[in-house]
Amino acid sequence: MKVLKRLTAANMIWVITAYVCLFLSIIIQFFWTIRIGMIADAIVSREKIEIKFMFIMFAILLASCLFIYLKSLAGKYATERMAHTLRMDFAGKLLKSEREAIGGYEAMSKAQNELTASSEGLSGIFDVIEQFLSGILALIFLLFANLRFTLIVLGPLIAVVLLINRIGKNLPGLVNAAMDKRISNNKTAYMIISNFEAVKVFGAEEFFEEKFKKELEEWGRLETKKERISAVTNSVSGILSQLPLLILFGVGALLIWRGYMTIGTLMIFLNMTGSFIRTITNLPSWVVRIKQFLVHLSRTDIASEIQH
Amino acid sequence: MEPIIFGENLSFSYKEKEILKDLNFAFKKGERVGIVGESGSGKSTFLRLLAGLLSPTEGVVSVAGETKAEGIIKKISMVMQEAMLMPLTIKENITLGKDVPKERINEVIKAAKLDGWIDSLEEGIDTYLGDRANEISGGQAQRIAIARAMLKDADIILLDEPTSSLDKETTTEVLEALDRLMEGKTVVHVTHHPDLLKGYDRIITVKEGRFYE
Repeated sequence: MKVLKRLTAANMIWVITAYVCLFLSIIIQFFWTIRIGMIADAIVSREKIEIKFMFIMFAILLASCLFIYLKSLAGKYATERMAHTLRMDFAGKLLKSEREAIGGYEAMSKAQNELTASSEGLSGIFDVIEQFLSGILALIFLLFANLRFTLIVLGPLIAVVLLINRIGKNLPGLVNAAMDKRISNNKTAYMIISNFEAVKVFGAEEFFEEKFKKELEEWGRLETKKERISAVTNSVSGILSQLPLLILFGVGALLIWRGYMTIGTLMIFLNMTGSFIRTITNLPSWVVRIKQFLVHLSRTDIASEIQH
Repeated sequence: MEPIIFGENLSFSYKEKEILKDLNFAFKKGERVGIVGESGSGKSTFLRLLAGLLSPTEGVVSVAGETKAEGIIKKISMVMQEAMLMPLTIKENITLGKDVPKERINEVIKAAKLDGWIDSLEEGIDTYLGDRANEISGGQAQRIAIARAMLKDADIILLDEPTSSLDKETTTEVLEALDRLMEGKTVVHVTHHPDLLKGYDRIITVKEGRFYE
């Protein structure tokens, strides 16, 4: 978190611009959904749709396109700037260190692995934030629109959140162990390459092959365990997320039949619930991704400290 | 006496540049041969041809009856400029995974004058050097490399400037360990410093890829 804060502070203007564009894009999408519901109600009640109404729809659509473009541009630029700051921070520290303090190829290997993983994590972070905010906004709307109906529909999802939190607890430890093993693999490979002549002269090929194989197997075991946790959280949340939609269709149809709800309102509910469910469904993988990303980021800091 | 090492019309080129040109030589068993020459003269390349780490572009090199690289490499032992230590334990750095009796390991440790230092370590020979392999002194590192070469117990010892990165005092200590390694062996020693070759049977100068004796 410390590193993320530092990267954000160093690129504050671009991060804020990206967030503003992102937020406006979500709000415009939100209004579009409500307007679609209104059109559906107008069609069902055979009301005349005014030109002014269509003009507003068109304006919303244009604004939506503009902000989708802007948020994507600003988001990607802010991300790349943050990744650049991260790389340059590390490179700067490396250049200022004493050769002996660098710790040879261990620090270099660490830097390479952690910086790549952190840059990948950074590039996905704005997408995660966008989907998360859309879901939260949809939830607020649903709660205000019909509290009881929303609670009945979304209740099962609370179970998903609790479950995922529980399963995801072991993940940072596993990420760390897998990463250490990966570094150790690189170290062994580097050792063989840089000491190639000694390996040949003293016939140590088999010894190093065996060593490399053992380390690779251990890394494979840790990676499999890590991915198994991710797979469990993803599939469990996938199954449970279908439940609210079933409830929504059943209860919604009953309410429309009894005249308590219009089709337009159900459409808005369906859309908003869909948005919230997407957030909840993706939450496990986001939690996993963010946890992994933060571990990698913190390790870039560890790698930096090694040298000082 | 039949030569244990010989070369006939030996040439070696790299990227169309001829580094060694048409060399003919013969070294007898038990002979100590010093090879001197300026940087880039081809002396280290010559040693690598004798070690089987490189194959000649033209001509033949024969080492203990072997002419192919995979055969030659089994017949020689080598101490290089860099000790080539690895992030392993001291024992693993010496044995490189070979199953060697404890007594034999202790013998080479003593001969390489590593016993005093190893005894002072809490975990002794099982001390994991890890990335500290870069941090131990040049003399200690080179003595581990010598112990490794002693363990192979080959009849031919090739030395590629094993003391060039050491200070004067450490050089003396390492030379003592090298003397034990070279006892009764055929030695080819490449160096910048002819004064290290006192008592050698022959000294060859390499200049622009040719031998001058």
